[in-house]
This record gives sequence, C-alpha cells and structure tokens, in this order.
Amino acid sequence: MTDYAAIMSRKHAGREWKLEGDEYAGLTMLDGGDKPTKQSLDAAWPEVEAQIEAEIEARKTAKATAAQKLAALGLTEAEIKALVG
Amino acid sequence: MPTPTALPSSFTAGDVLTAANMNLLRGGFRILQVASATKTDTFVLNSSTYTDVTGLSVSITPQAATNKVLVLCSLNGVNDASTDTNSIQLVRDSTAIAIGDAAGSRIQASTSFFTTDNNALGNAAIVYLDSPATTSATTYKIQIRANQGPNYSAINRCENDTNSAVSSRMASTIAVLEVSA
Repeated sequence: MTDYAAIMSRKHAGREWKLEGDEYAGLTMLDGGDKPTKQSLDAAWPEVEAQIEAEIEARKTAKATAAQKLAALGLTEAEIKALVG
Repeated sequence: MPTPTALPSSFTAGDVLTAANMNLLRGGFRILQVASATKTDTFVLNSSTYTDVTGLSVSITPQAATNKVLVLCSLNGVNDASTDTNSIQLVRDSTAIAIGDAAGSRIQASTSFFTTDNNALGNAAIVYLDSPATTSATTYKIQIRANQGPNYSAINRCENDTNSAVSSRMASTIAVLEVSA
C-alpha cells in the first residue's frame, strides 16, 4: 500500500496538506498550491519505501554496534540493556 | 454523589419516598445523556495551523443551561519525531477550551504527543468538565497542529507506517456526558 503521507513529507517538504485515511483521494492541499498527481506520488513510492526500510535497518545496526561498543568498555549486559533496550 | 445505601432493594406499591430517598435517586440520574465518536482510520496533517481531525467530533444538546458536559478523549498518534513537536486542542464549536494560559509566543494546547522515534506512538488524554451555558446543539472536536512549521502530525498511525508487525494502527475516541447541575 502506497504511503502517501510518507511521500508527501519526504518529497514535498514545506507544503501544507492533510491526508484523511490512506488513499490518494483523502489528500487535500492546505497551502493553495497544486495537488501532486497520483501518478507522480505512486512513482515516488518505491524510492521512499526503500528509504524508510534503510532507515529502520540503519537504526537496528546502530543499536547493535552501540551495544557492542558499550560491551567493549566493560558494561554488563544488564547495563547495556538499560541504555539501549 | 452519596452511595444510595439507604434505598430499599426494591419498591412496592404504596411506598412513599422521603426527601433523603429522593436525593439519593437524583444522584443516579445525574448523567443525562452520552454521545461519542470513535475514529478508526488515520489522519495525517502537515501544517502548523490547528486543523480539525476528521471523525473526532461529537455534538450534544444540553437539556439545561446550568448543566455541565464532561468531555473524555483518548488520542493516539505522533508528532514529527525527528524535527518538531505538536499540539492538540479541544474545541467547543469554534472556541478552544481546556488549554493552557497564554504565555508569550508559546502555543496554547490541551495536550500533545511526544515521540522521539519515527516508529514510536504517542498517546494523550483529555478530561475536562465544561460549562457550555447553553441549550443549543454544541459540538466538541479535536484539532492538531505541528508547532514549528509544516511538519508531520498523525492520528492512529506512526510516522514510519511500514506494512509489518513493527507498526500499529489504533483508534481514538471522544465522548461527552451531560451532567445535571
């Protein structure tokens, strides 16, 4: 399912809009400007989706490497868990 | 409201209520009517202007101008976790109620979400006993905004709303109860 909110916030930063529900029809521009076409937003979705997934993976990786570095500093597993979850 | 322990477990023909009995019964009828709305779909706003959240609006017509309206809201959603905070306000018709005092350039709000992770969800509650002083139909609704610019605020979803078990979809509610004076 295309996440029109994610596309709008990443590809049309600075625009004012609202999205009621998940569908393109629920997108309303609040700044008086033109509404991006469904085709243009749908076309942007694969890139935005990949960005989001990459960010999630990067966060997981950062968490793991942070835990490893803390362990190398001598923190116990319980102490690391208290810090990074 | 006193607990009606003095009332009999049942009434029979010919019983005469005392003033104390009647006062106890009156307490039982203090909630005169209830109305509510539950929003189960999502709403995302990218604006720093307070905007109505579709589906979080409810109307009630008080039976007496002296009666009060108890408003209960349970809200789920997010602010823009990476760049901004947001504000939420309760509105009666076109008047914001249950908001903080004006203080310089600070934004007056009833509550807000506070999330620091794009996968996190915030929740907020509003409990407010209003005195609308009217017997006309009165609408209570929820508005949200971003605080520092056209940034992301959402109801019933997180920002990284990936189609996986990492994400949740939620419901938010507003309920109003007319309470007799």
